[in-house]
Amino acid sequence: MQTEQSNGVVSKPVYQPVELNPKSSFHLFIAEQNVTPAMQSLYDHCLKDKKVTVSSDASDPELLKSLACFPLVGTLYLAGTEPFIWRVASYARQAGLRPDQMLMMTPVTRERHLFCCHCYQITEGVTYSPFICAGCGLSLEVTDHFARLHSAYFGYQANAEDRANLPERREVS
Amino acid sequence: MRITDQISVSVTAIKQVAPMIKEFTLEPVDGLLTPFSPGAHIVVEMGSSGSSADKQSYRNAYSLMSNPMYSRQYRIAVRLQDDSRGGSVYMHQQVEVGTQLKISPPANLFAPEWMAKKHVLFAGGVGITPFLSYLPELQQRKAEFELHYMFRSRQTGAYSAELRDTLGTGCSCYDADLGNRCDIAAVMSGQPLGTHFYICGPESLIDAVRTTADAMGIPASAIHWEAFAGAKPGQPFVVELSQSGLELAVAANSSLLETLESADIKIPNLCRAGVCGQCVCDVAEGEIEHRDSYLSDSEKQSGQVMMPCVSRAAGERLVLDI
Ligand code: FES
Repeated sequence: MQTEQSNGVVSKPVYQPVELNPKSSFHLFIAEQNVTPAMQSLYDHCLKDKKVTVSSDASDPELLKSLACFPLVGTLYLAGTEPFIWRVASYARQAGLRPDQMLMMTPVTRERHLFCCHCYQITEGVTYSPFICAGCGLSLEVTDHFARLHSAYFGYQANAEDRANLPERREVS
Repeated sequence: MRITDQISVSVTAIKQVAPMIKEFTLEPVDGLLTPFSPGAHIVVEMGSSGSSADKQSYRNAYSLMSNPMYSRQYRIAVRLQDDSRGGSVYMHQQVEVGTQLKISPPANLFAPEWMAKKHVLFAGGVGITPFLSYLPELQQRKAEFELHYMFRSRQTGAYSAELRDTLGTGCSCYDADLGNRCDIAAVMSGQPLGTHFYICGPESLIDAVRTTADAMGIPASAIHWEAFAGAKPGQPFVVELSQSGLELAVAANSSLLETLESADIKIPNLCRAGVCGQCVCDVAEGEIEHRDSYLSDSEKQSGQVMMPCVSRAAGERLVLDI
């Protein structure tokens, strides 16, 4: 069986419980498709200037516009799947937001995006390892190395020395 | 080259640039100087070539203020400090054109954040120096910036006329001796997203900017500062080195790091101000008076590690595990 050590780098994000930043005078809540109950409760408790944007697409022009006119003293709250959260965060970073003004809520599913280091395709909905790459069909070992720029986990040919003898399937969380 | 390796330089020019500040031009005794980046500093060893009666030697960190695109020489500016400690008296009174000094290779703990959309620089007194190395590169990159320069013209205020000339409205000067004060909150409010703030100056200025940022909700990671406070004097104590059994006396106006260095014990160091973490030492015994801003509270409480560049013994004796 493949163990965690075989994955090498562990850069899987750790999500802490999110609280309102009492210092901020503006609060922007961005959610993918639905505002989660946790985000709704933050929003309800927020008595400052606030705005909610719901979108299924991280590159939604409305969403990008709200990032472009975001104030230096604001706080951004993100909810949705992990790839969505990090993709919005990467646009936010380009707009000039600092990591400490983006608060990420625990992703709504444990499904991962998997980046194939052989064909560079991203496979969605990954919950176990090895996982078949949607691009090249190889069985990929799913690592805990999370690429923040791609919002995806790094994957490589499982048991490359002997592809016929794949490691046992294991769930990834 | 290791960070503890030193370079020999000779002083080729000295200029009085403000009542209390002298500028020194340093050129290598042989070979070439290492290139450096904006915000870099060097550690200058002072007083080691002094008379044998006064064997005290100091090492102080100084920002390189010359243009980073031109590393044939280094320039530093030294403010005469009023406290008894420190080598600034030596630099001001003993060093002449032709004097040879030993310096460390440049290190940088205060580089500009190039992702920034705008840079706001706060300089207090001689704290203008690192920003002098920022300016050529900020201008070359056509970056948006403002410089806010606070000084007392009876003591400091070097280069203020030149800066106003070349930067125009990009430079605001505040001469406290003329009653001009910088309204820090007014400067910081309304700055656009992506602005980064840099402070070099006395602790009071650093605190003022950080407190203002915190109250306004500006993210802490957008605030960068360089403390040039360095070691402050304290009570004398004895340090024992458990591995060699060596005992050394740390004088009131020497730091523990300086004492170790004068006994030829090499400890890696970059900032000599308790921020970089390079000089960390294991402590076997004794109470520590932590003065650094590097160790976490729990590390400080453990009593097992210390930063000898600024921290001292709380009692009369300390045993280091080196
Ligand atoms: S030399 Fe940087 S912390 Fe001591």
